[in-house]
Amino acid sequence: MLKLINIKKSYQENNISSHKREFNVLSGVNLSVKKGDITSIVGSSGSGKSTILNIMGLLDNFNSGKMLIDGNETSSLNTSEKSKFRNKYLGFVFQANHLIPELTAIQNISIPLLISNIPKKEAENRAKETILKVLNKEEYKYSERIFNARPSKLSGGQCQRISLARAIVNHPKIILADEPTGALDKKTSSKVMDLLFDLNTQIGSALIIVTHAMDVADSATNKLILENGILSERK
Amino acid sequence: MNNILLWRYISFKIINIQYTISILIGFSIGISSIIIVSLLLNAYISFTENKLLGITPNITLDVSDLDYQSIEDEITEISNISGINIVNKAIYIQGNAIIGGVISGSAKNPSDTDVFIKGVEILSFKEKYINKKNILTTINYEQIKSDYSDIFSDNFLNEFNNDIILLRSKYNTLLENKFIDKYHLILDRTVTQSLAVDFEKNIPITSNISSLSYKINNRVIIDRKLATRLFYAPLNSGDEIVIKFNNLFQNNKKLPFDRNISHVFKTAGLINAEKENNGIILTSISSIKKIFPNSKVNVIEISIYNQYDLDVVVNKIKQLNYKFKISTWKEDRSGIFAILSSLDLLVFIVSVLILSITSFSLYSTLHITISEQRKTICFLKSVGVNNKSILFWFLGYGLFISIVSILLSILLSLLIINSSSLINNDAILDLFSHINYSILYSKETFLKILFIVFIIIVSTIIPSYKASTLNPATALKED
Repeated sequence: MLKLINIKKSYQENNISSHKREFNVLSGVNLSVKKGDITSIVGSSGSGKSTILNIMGLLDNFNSGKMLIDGNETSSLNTSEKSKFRNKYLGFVFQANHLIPELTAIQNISIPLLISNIPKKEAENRAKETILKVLNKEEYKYSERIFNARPSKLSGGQCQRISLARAIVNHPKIILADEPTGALDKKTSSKVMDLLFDLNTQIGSALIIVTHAMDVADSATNKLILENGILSERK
Repeated sequence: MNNILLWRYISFKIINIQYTISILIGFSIGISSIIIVSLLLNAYISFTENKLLGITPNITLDVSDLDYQSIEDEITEISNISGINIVNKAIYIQGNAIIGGVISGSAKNPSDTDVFIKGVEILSFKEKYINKKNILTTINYEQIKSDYSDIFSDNFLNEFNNDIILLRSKYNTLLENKFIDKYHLILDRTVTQSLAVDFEKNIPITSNISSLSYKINNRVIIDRKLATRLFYAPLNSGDEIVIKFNNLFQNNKKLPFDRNISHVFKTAGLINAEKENNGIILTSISSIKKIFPNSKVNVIEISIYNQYDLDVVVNKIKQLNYKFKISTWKEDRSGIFAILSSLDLLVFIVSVLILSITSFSLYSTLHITISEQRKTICFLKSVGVNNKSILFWFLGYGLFISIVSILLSILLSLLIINSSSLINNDAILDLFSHINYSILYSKETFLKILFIVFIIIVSTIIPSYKASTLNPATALKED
C-alpha cells in the first residue's frame, strides 16, 4: 500500500555566522505498510515525525529516495496530480481537528467528497452515514442536531470524531494521523483511538499514527521509533 | 467543475461577508465618484465651450473700410459655415448706441446706457430643428402647440402667425422662446439645455435648416437684467423702446443741431444672457443693416458647424484675397481652452488616486481574509484542492467584486445625478443639465472599465497567489 525506500530529507539552516548548514531530518527511512496495518511512529520532539508524515501525505518533498503509494511512484507527480492523489488515497487526522468553523458537521465532512466530484446531495447523505459511525449511543438520539451543528457547538471529543469521519468519508487507502489525541483528555483520547482503530478495520485502510502518547503507540500492530533520522522497530 | 461546486459550497462561509460588503461599498463609491466627476467634467467642458462659443464667433474678420456686403456674399458660399453676423463694433466701443426711452410699457425713468447692438438671424418656423448630437428628427408641431398653449394665446406670437419663435444666432446658438410668468423669456440654448433635452426626448424633431427666410425688423431681444437695470422694471413683450445712434454713424453726415438718430424697436423677448453677454441687444440682421451703413461695419463674425473644420474654413477665407485680418477663437481663447484640456489630466490623476485607494483596500481585505483562513486553505489543500483552484477562487472573488462594484457604481452615479434636482442651486442644475450620458457608452468608458477590472485583478492576484502557494505542512502544524 505504502512503501518508503531510503527517504532522505534535510533542511538548510542559517547559523549565527550566517553560514548555511545542512540539517538532516531523515537519513534514509524505509517503511512498508500493508492494507489493514496499524503503524505507530514515536520519537522525541524535532526527530522528524511530522516531516515523515507530511512526506507520506504528499504535503512535503524529500531529497532522495523513493515513495510508492498503491504501486505508484510519487516523485514523478506534479502538484495537481498530488492533490488528486491526496483526495483519492489519503485521509488526514490532525491534532487540531481543523474543522472549518463556518461550516456545519455535514458540510465539513462533505468537502473531500465534493472535491472528488460527488454531487452535493449524495455527498451530504454519505456524510450523514459517516457521522452516524462516529456517534455514541447517547448522541444517536440527537444526531440531527449534530449533523447541523457548527464546530463551536460541539465538544472537543465530538469535533475530533467528526474529523475522523471526514478522514474516512472518502474511503482512503491510507489514514495519516498526526497526534490525533494530543488535544484530548485521557478518557476521551482512548475512546477516539478505539473508534479510529474500529473505523480503520471497517474500511480496510492502512493507519499510520505519529504520536507522543505511548499508550496510543502501544496499541498499534507495527510499533516504530524515529531516532537520528532512522526509522526502526520499537522494542 | 468540482472546484466550482466546492467554491459555491464554502465561499460565502469562508469569505468574510462584512469585509466583502465594505469593499463593495468602497469600490462602488470610488468608481461612482470617477463616473460622476467624468460626467460633470465633460458637462462642464461642454457647458463652458457652449458659453465661449455660443455667442463668441469662431472666426472674426476685420473688414474696416471694405465692402462687407460682397465679402459676406462670398463667405456665405463656403459650405462649412453655419452663420455670419455683421457687427459694428464701433457702437460698443464708442458707446453710440443708447437706449434712450420707452414709448410704451411699464418702465419709468429710463436711463441712457451704452449697449452693444448685434444683428442675428431671427428664425420663425413650424418645422424647426434642434441640432444636437447631430440628430435630426421631425418636430411634432401640434404637440409643442399644446404643450405651450399659453405661448400661442399671446398677442406677440399672433403677429408671427402663431409660429414658435426661435432665434438662432449665427454662432450655433439656438435661442428658444419660453413663457415664464407673463414675459417672453427667450433663452440662449446654452441656458435652456433642459428645454432642449425635453424637446429631444419627447418630441420627434426633423429639420429643414434651409428655411431661414423669415425676417423680423425693428424687434429686439434684451437681456432681462439689462432691461431691469435700464428701466427699473422688467419690460413686457411688445413694449417699444428707443435706441439712439450718434449722427456720426449716419454716413458721416452731421444732422442739424447735433441730433441723434433714433430708432424705435419693439421688444420681442427677454433673454437670460448670463454675464458675458448681458450688455448685448439682439436684433435682426436686416434691421442692423439698415441702421449701420456699409462703411461703418468693421467686423464680420462667422460661426462654423464643426470646430474641426476651423482651419479649412480659415484657408478658404484667405483664398478670397481680401485684405482683412482673420482671428479665430482658438487664438482668442487659447488660454481658457488649454485650461479646459488640462482638466482632463486632473480628472485622470484624481481617478488614479481613487482607484489606488480602493485597490489597496481590496488588497488588504483579501490579505486579511487569507490570513484568517490560512488553515482552512491549507486543510483544503490537504484534502485535494489544488493550487490552481485556490488561485482562481480568489481571482474569481476579485472579479466578482469588480463586476458587482461597477454595476453598483453605475446605479449609484445615476441615482446621485438624477437626485440633482434636490439641489437648490441654479448654476449646479444648469451644469447637471449639460451631462451627456452617451459618454457612458463610449469606447473611452469601455477602456476605463477594462482598466478598473485590470487594477482590481492586479490587486487580487498577489494575495491570491500567496494563498495558492501556502504550505499546508507548516500551517497545519501551527497550533
